[in-house]
Amino acid sequence: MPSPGNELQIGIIITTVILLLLVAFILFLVVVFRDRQKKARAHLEKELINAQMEIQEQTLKTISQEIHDNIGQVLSLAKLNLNTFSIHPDEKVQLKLNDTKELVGKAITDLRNISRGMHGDKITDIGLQQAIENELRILENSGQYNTELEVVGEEYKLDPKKEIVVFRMVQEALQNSIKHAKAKSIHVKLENSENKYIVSITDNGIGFNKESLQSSQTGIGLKNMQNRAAVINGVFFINTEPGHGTAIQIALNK
Amino acid sequence: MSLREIYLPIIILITVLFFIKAKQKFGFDFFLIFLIYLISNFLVELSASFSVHYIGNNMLLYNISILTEGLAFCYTFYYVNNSFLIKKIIVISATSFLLFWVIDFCFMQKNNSLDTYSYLFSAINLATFSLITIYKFVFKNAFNNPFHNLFFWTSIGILFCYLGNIPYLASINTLAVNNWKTYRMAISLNIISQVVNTILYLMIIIGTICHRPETNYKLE
Repeated sequence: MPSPGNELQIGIIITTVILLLLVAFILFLVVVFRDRQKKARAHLEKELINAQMEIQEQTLKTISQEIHDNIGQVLSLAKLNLNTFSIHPDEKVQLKLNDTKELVGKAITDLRNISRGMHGDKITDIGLQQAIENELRILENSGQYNTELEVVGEEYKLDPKKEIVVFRMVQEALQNSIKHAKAKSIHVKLENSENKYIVSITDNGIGFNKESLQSSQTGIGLKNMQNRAAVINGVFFINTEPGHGTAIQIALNK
Repeated sequence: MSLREIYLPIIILITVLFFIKAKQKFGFDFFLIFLIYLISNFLVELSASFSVHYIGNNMLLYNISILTEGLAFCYTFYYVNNSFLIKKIIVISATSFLLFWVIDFCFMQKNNSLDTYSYLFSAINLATFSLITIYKFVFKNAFNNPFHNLFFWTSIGILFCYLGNIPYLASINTLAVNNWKTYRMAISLNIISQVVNTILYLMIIIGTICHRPETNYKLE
């Protein structure tokens, strides 16, 4: 028969073992739950970005249709009216009339280009390469920027949804080059390698300090690009330094 | 009477006090039933301690407590689960357990011994339900923190309590026979039983403290 001392010893051992088991079990549950929570949050974030992009696409589509159907039509009618004027005897008035016709014509062309760049369906119709070419042409036509599009390898057709996402990222990068980087020259490269499709946008702008973006509001655009890349399972790289321009790369697995 | 003999009623009493203090956190029907369960358990354990000290046998009380505890926990799992299938399984299990307990109590085992068959039936049921509930809390419910939920902690307590009690309570009638050879084993198993019983009430206390009323505690 065990003595009271032995009984206490057994009690301590058993209690310790059971408590250790309990703690291990709870810790296991904590680890599993945290892991699942992390995964669920990442999934939700992706869903939210997806929804956000869909809303944005829908808004752009509506604006694009409005430009095409309303403003475009009004300007076309205005141009038509201008064309009905007979030749004016006063040379100065005639010159102003011709200039106005030309300006209205340019406005129609610019609006058509903007409308095309906004409409997601049109982007997938013409393809990513053509859509980027159009964007660069608009910049080039403004006479303030030098642009270049380089295509390496055969043209590659991305999934339509991915195509729109990549195109929006390129648009964002071009806007950043113009607005923030004050670039004069922009180079876009589409590279189709064996297992990757890479889109690079390089400018000769003022560049910036990457660390300063972590806490500032100006980093939102780049964060959005990063999120969009994640949604299409792509990788987003940025390489920049103050005074040395900016290079952005979007790499997609084929 | 030593403190050791009445330590479990004291722990249950502390649990009752914690639970009453946090009554605003729970729905009225659940609060009432769980409180009745805790108070009845307190009375059972207290009377059992007195009867074993003064009469020598407290098995009748424990046999009744097997039923009340089993049904109270079945209700807890029924309350927390929203899945129709699980609710149905719980109702069927609880009904079968009730019928089995009546048969066991009246016809199968002696009145002065513990109804070990009924206990085993209840233990297997409740351990399974608690495992299902823990699984659902952790794996199917990523946005509601289970650690802020009384039912999650109670499920852990029930799992440990019933699994830990199985070896002791299932063999108590054999161990109770005066046999020095099994004495050491009986002591060890009794300690396990005491520890896991304490863990159950400890988990209820932790759950009561951590429970947040805004947490959606229903499981799909």
